[in-house]
Amino acid sequence: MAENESYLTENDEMIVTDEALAVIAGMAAMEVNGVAGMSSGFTGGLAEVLGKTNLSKGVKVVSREGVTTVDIYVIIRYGFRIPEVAFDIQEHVKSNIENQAGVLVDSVNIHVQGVDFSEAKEEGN
Amino acid sequence: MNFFFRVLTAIYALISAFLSALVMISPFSDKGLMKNFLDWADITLYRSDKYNIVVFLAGLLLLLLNLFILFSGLRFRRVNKYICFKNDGGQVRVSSNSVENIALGLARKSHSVREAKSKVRFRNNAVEILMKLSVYPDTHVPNLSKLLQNQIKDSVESMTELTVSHVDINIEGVHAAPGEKE
Repeated sequence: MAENESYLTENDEMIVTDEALAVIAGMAAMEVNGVAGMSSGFTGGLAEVLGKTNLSKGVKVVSREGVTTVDIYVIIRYGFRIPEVAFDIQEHVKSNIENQAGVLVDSVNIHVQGVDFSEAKEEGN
Repeated sequence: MNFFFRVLTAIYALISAFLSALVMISPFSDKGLMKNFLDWADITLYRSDKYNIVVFLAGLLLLLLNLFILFSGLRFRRVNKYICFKNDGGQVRVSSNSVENIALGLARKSHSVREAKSKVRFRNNAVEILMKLSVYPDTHVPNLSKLLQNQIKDSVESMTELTVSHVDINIEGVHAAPGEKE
């Protein structure tokens, strides 16, 4: 934000698209411990089949009238406490978007779509 | 699939079965059964003054049935039910699918379970879980049920911090096939 201000005049406007924010959010969410992956809906899955690499998979960003809402669809690893992981994701996504894009995020909604067992099984054996 | 849709599919199947039977028979019949049928249909319909509307309605019915069947294929995604709670950062929604995953994962770990299905319902901020199991022979079902019930309840409660009101277990079958898992 501070860097941008140096070359933006008062009349200029910086617009960060929702798609860009979604990529930042998706990458941030994947970094959180306990997240097994992102869950794309039907259309996301279709895009993947068609060969579109999707960094913003499972993320929906809506900016309306200056209020930015992020929806994240995740799969959580077995054994992690969902409320804690969800809170970590929210914090991480919020801070990453605010640091990288300078956009204030109003709320980050987490949709837990599934629980992944694959890693827990290996530990058990 | 609801009842209405099943009736529609049945009607559609009957109509297409009738038509295909007609097409199959027509080359082998001397007088051209197909032609006779068409003549009959033409005459009976044409003579009645409601010819236009009858044919239009028949066509419309077939079109609607076709559209129904076409779109039923696209409606395969099961509607996920969610339970929500709020924290400072926004909303957290846990799908019933994730609770099902936990229960299924635990059941499949057990060596005496051959197959498992689970159904989860959220009611009054609590979770109700129904497990349908088929087990291997020589399984002590009461012990297995008790063990699974406790495991599932503990796991779900610790992971989601929701309350599990009850875990029901239905034993759907005992498989006589030799347990190769041992």
